[in-house]
Amino acid sequence: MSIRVTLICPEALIDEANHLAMVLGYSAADIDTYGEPRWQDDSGNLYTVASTLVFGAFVENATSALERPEWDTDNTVNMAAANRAQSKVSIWGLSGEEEDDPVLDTEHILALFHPDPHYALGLVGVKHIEEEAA
Amino acid sequence: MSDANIKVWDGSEMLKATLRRWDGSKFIPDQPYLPYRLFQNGEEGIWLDPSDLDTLFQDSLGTTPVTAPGQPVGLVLDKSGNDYHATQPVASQRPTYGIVPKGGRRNLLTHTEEMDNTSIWDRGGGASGISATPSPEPDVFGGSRAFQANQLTSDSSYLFPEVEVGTGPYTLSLWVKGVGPSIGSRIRYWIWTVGGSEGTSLQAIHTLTDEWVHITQTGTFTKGGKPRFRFDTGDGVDNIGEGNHYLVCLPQAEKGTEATAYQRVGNEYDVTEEGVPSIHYLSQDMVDDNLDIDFGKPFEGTVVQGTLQSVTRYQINVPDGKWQLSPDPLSPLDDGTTVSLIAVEGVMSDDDFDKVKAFMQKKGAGL
Repeated sequence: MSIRVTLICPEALIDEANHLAMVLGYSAADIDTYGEPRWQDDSGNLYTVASTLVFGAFVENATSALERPEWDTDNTVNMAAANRAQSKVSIWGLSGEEEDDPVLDTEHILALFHPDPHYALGLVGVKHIEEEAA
Repeated sequence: MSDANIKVWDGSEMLKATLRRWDGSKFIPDQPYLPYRLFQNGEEGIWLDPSDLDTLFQDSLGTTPVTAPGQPVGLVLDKSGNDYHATQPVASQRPTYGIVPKGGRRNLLTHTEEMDNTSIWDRGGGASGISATPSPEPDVFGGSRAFQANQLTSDSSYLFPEVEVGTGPYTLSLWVKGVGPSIGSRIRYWIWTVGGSEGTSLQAIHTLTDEWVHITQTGTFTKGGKPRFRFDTGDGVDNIGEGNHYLVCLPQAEKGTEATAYQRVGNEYDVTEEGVPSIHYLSQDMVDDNLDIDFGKPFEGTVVQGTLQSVTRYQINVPDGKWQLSPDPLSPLDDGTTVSLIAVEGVMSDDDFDKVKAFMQKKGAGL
């Protein structure tokens, strides 16, 4: 069974978040998971957003001790950076219980589990820069 | 070239005849329009066809084929013959393959044939509620397993799926059948959203028989939330008795006041309806999903894109040859889906566009 997760990463954490994405992903190409920060909050802080369906043991893998992926035979992944990113992930929407709305800040990577990514983004009030300008 | 229907006067009456092409050895039957014709002389361009599963792969290297709705798509092979395949190496940015019946999705539920999946179908009410375990009888109806509704000492039991509906009129329906001692019992069926008292619920009493019966109920919800399928046995109707059960299956929740034909929903990308053709599509999440197409040289041309909503034509100019198929969140015509996509070099003629548009509509573009 799959579930959608929408990840909101503050600008300052993009580099380490991409190393975490490589550990949880499938190849070195996943270093481009978090691109240019094109989303912002009401205070003007910038974020990059990724949204994807995840399967099976993703959540367990993402919250367990990280291991260097098998494909990474030449140490492309900076595991220290990946671990730093993992320690800053804040999960919302998995408890199955009513939860307070998630709160966005520049110190954490928010992982919002909800089938509609735009609903999830609306909960924290982050807006796409181009949409806001239109 | 299509077959041509003509009339011939034989001197006494008018005869109808069809002209067909002769290739020197046999007549060639008329062929439906296919986009191959746009590329048969080596013309530049691309043709992506999500209905052809042989062209879809979960990874960008093409090692894992797409086999089921809901899977990511990292590679779409180009069917134009030019090998301008569309790829997405980044796992989180891959579109998702989906199917939906022509006419669109009405059943808002998911996992409609997994009523025993308690992570999707929660249950409540007094003592044991409805267990909705698969029926021990080899009972299949409408292509679905039947589920056993046990009601022990509780007089009200309910099931609510892991989806939410908004406010306004909704209709919740399913099929029920009595088994053994429950045959002839009257049950009350009613619906509301969780948070119940805020909704306007309606109810009706049904008598269980040994035949499958479609029961429906419409309610106007004044508060959104998870819709409940509630059943009462006892409390003014009949208590079916401890250890007895009846069967339920084919649940559907839809907007409006009418219960329509059942649609099976596996997940949001996997919706089918018996007797209705399925439309195959790629879904981009309008956040970060996209596909890269590398022409290897400057490309200026016309793109025709069929989505679930429409067929649109637009021009592109990519001097570096690298084009990205990504949805435009600001366009009301762009819903992030791709049923079919064709790009040709230069300006596509209106005649070709009409043919391509008709082809894509046959594939289900514009629903």
